[in-house]
Amino acid sequence: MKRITIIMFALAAMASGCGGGGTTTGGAAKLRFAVMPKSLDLPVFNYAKVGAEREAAALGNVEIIWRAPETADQLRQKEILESFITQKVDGIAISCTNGDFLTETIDRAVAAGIPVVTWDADAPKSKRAAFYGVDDVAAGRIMGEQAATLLGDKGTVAIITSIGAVNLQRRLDGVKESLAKHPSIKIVEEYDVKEDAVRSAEIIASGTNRYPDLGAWISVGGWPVFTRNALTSVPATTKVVSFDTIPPAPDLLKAGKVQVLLGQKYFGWGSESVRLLADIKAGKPPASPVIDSGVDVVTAANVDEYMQRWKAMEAGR
Amino acid sequence: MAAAVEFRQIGKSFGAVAALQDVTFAIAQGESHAIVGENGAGKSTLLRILVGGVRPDRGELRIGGDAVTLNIARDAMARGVGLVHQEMLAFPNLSAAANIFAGREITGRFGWLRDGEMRDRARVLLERLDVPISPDAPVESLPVAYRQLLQVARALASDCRTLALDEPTASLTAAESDRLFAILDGLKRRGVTLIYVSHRLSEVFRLCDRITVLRDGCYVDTFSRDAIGADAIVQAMVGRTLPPRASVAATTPGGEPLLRIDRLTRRPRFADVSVSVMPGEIVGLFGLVGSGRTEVLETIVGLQRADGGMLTVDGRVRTFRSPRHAARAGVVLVPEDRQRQGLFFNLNLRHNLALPAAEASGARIVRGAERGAASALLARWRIKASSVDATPGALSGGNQQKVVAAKWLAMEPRVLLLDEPTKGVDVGAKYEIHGMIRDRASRRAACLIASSDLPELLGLADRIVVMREGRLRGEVSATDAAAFTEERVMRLATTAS
Amino acid sequence: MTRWWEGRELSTVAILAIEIAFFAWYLWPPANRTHPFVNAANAVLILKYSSIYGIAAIGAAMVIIAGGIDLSPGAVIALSGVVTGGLFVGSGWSLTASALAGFLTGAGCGLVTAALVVAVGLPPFIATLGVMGIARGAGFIITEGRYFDVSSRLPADWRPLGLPIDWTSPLLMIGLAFVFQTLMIRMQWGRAVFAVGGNETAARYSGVRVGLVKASVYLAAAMLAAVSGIALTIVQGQGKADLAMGYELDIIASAVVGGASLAGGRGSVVGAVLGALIFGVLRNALPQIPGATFYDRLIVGLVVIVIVVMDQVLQRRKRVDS
Repeated sequence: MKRITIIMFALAAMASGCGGGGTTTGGAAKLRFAVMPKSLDLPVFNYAKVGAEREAAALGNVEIIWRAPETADQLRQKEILESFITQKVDGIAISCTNGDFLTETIDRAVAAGIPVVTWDADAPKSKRAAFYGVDDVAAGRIMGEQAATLLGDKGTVAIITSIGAVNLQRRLDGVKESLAKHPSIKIVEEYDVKEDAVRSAEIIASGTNRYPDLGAWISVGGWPVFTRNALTSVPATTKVVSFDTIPPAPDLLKAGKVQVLLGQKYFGWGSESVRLLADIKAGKPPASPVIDSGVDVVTAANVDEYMQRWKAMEAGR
Repeated sequence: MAAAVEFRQIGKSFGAVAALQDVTFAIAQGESHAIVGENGAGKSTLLRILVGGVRPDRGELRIGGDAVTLNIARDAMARGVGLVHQEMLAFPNLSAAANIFAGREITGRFGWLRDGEMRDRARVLLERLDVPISPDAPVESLPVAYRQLLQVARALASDCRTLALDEPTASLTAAESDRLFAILDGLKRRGVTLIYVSHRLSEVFRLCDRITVLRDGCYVDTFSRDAIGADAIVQAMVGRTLPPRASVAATTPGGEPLLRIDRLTRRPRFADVSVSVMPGEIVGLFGLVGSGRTEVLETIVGLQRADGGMLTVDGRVRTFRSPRHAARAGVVLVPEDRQRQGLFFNLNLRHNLALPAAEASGARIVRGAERGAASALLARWRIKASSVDATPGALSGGNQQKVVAAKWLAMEPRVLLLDEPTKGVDVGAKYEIHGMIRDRASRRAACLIASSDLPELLGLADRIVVMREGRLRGEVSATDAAAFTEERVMRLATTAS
Repeated sequence: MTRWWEGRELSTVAILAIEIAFFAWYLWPPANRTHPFVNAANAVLILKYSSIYGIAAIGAAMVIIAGGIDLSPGAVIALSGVVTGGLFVGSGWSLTASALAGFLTGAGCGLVTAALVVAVGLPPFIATLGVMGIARGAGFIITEGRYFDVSSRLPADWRPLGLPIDWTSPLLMIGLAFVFQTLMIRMQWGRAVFAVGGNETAARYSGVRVGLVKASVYLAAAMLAAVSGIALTIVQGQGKADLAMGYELDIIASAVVGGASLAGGRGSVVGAVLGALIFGVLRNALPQIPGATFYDRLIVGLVVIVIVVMDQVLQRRKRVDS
């Protein structure tokens, strides 16, 4: 059966290529924490990975398994989550593509003795021990207010979001709540980019075509500022308010393509959730089920200082 | 002078089947040499070894005195060996010129194709072969016979010193064959060595100096054309004396025809065709390329819809919507092109043989009894295959043809239509197929055979109906011996009335 | 072809067994822990997620054997789930009635495909691409980007027919595999599918109702995708328009790995299910290898190529030249 020998060789080659097998010999077993972003293709999560791994190194007895579907797919994420349950990992930290969808599974993990914390995107109805992230509604309100100020209280606004994630929905609610207080500002359209940065570029281009006199773009996620060229079609007269401050967003702000950025605690997503899990395993429950990480509001005024702090964090606290 | 081609102890097996064993003989420079033999004798395999399509397991091949190992066809071409195939290998979606030069395109700098030059050279070749097609004609629109001539043109285009031809006249009319022979004669005069594989002994005798006989993969003997007669050759090929061809008993059928077509018309292919076939009668449908024979048969059996005319089977007017419908009424067609129309290469012989009968009978379940029935068919027809589990791809061309015929005859049809039933089939199998047709006829079936093999029809049919360019030209009956001749039929087929 | 298990299915089983054995060895845990891969819950998990693809792969295998291709299963899975969820949650229908409606929706898609391929004569690639768009779009239009929370109307510990809910899809997959394997091997219809895929012209000449055979495989494939979608919706608890995006490629890959040849005329329904399991095991085991996160696609691609290449090589050796 030649077919089978070849497969064996292929698998063996795979094994050696992957480096670091699952077989460990003796020694104190490390705590295995599964850290799951929504997907592997959003650059904003890479910082969470850095933060998580750094915290694990600092703690010494923790091993991080970083895992997610390549693109946001709630079913695939659930599949991976379930496999971590059957694998009996020691802790799970997850940013939920669809929190309600995962609620039942998270509860099962908790029932099986695996502590779960959520970060960035919560599953509020579940039995997760804690959520670390921004207060989405408040953040949304801030964005709405900033846009209203930039527009001088009147004009048109187009919103960019992705349907499905609870946190994005709540940011959206916050934006609409604050804009409702400014009746001369009209929301002309809400666009769904399906968590795809490239799609956001397309939509901005076609939206600009459709609404050449648009007052402002408000994006409740960082997709337009994940790449350098999504905003090239935006005319100078249109303002941009966006979530997320990871590079190249600050450069875009300095170049004048973006006026306001809301930064999350990206490294904190990783480091804080790992710390929370480690604490729970050590018998110390979290201080409160919802931990507000706070947002950084970055404008032309403080962007340089923000970038300096960022570089410091990248170098290692 | 070294022989043009020499085979020394060539052996080749495919799995358990030994196609060639210890074959040793030589072909002299400039001679035209025939290789004849029954199906499975190994002729095609030997040719494929010569042109590099297949590597021998044992033995040595010498070309022009040098021992060679040919890995691919291009090696053979480089040594001046060209092949005209039995099965038409062409690229239907390309033009005639493209086909002629496929694989050996004329290129300029940077590999640009020199279309103009290729078309000119193609035109010259086609004119030499007297083929009235333009170099730009898309091959899929050409009739089968022209594609065959394209094969020859293709081989000629590569300036070969040794030209091997595998059943080249299988789809050619007498006129076209004569044209081909004229060209081959011309090549002979230029010193090209010809290797001619054919079942048609008349051609072999006309064209070749020496004749080598293979039987069951072994070399039998080489005869000089002048020293031997056809019967002796056949005997050497078959290894047994064949019974003399049964003289055609003049059947006296009475009563109603079993199959009758009245003024059947399908424009632009054929019009006003009327033929009757009595039960137990064998009627031949003869015509050259473009005469519309195949189209008539396909229309009868329901593959095409007629524009006008009537079809009557056993007294009932019928219109068949599909071959399935026809088969259920006992009217079947053994098609011309076994590869495209007759065989399933992904199924084994048991399924190939059982499928039409199962479909016609409306069976729902695949029955185990089919195996036994299929084995019986293989034995009855002497189809050389390892077992019913073999696939058609493992069989030689002649055995494949027997499978196609067998599966339809197994249904014991009342009306049997055949289109070129012995194309590319060796002498022994040819007799067997004729015997089966006669057997069917003796059971009061009506048989209508479309064929371009006039000797075959003259030997087999009670009447021959002649078509030309879609219309009936005339009819000759075996009872009228003076008229039942090749000349008379050909005249009807070729002259405008 | 009439033997219930062919050589090809046996070697696919062997590949699956070796794969499992390999990961069982590779993921062997240190002393005091349970094996993360070899445990009952994990096996159920693998079966549960593989059956999303596996049920539809049965249909894909039949379509490919018949010489066609189907790009629509992912969309039909989603649409059937949406219709089922919508009627169950939105309109208050009973579960059975909603599921039936979802099934008929999927069957409807199959009929459209069949009509496009057989009556209109479109190439299957184009026809199923179109149906994929229509079905996917219909799902989005019905849901307007939201979803139907089926789990809200189902009792929390619901056990269909007394079995744990996670067993539903795998049992469906295995049952349907047996049914369709029998159909393909023992029934004239199945043989006709092989014939049409192997040589459509010869099939027509041999009396096979080619149009009917082709239409029936596309219809069957869509119905199987619908079953998968309904099961998915019920088990996972959500009817959502963007489920199973892009799954058609995995489904086709399962069928090909299981022995189906894209040229038509060859393949196996059981093989396709085994192919889905092979990929399911990979999807389950790879996350457990630390550091392998980004190698997923690469490994899956390599596995597919290796298996298919080996298959070609074996085919060539088996074929006896005339």
